[in-house]
Amino acid sequence: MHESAGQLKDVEKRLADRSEQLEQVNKELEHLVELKDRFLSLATHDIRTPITTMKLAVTVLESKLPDDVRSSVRKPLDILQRNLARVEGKIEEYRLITRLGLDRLHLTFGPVDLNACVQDAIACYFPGAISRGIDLDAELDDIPPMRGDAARIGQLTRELIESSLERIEQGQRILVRTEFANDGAWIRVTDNGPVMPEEDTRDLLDGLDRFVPTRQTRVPIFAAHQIASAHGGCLEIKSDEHTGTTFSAWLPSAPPEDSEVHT
Amino acid sequence: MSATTIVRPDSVVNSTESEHLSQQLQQAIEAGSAIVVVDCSNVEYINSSGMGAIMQTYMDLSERGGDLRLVAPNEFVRKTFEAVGILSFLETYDSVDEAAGSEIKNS
Repeated sequence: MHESAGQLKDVEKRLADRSEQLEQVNKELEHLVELKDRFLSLATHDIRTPITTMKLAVTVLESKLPDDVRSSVRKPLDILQRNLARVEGKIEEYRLITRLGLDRLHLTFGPVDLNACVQDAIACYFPGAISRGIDLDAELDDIPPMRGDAARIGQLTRELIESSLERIEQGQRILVRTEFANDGAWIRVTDNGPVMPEEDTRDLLDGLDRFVPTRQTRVPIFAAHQIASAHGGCLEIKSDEHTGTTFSAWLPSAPPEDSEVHT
Repeated sequence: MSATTIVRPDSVVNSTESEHLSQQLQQAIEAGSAIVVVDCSNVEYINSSGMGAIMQTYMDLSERGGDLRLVAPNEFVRKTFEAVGILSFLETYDSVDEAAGSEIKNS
């Protein structure tokens, strides 16, 4: 009897040890997945800049060539442009993958200069805005130093800008603003594209908790929502014919401690 | 084609000012300037249209053997030009005199 009780205790102890080991392995795996997501997110962002430079280099090269030479190198230039577009397409695919991983978002908090994050994000879209003939503008309020995940706040701003970019055409305008309010700050992106019917706005916001990538607009909005929520903030969409359509995210000056992850 | 034109945009190049800048740059090209110096020392912010106008002018001048030069862009303007990729082609200078006096390079 004593022997059986001893064996049972031994089994229980081994189970508890194994359970602890599994928990540890699980934590390590979660950390690795987070590192992979963060790497993909930052890498795709960083690769965009040299791609943009290469595209511009091709355009400049073309403009410098005499007409007879230009026609003789037309084919290799086309190949170069096509392949750059292909790489760009791949980057977008990888970005989509990182966005889909945002439901398990972890943040690394530190001091944040919000306007610097927003300016960096705007600069990313200048090449696209220039080539599409879109006016991309900014009005930045004085924002006191904040706390948050600077890389993710940059991504949040880019997602808001993309939400607008997808809706507008040549000759239209996007205005990015920051506003200090309610012990936090708003990042607002307004476009003068078509007015969104109220039911579409409601549908878009309602769908954020059960993300289904069926409409293109939902990908950036979903990503923005996840990042704002992880900071203890929120997302807002307003659309009317007088002020245009505004995608806004509010972030607290200092996010709640429980959403903080130290790595 | 030998003249140098110096263009001094306002501190904030927004939608309104970018049109003005675009006109000034266009006039410089039409006047036959070989070198256009854009003095950014007072520029705090430039929007996409303003940057597009500068890029277009650079390409138009390049085609004709001319050059566009930037003077004293602040950190934001420099970063924005870097993001667009144009700093790989454009020379930046500390002063207008330096920019206007430098010879055209065949890059």
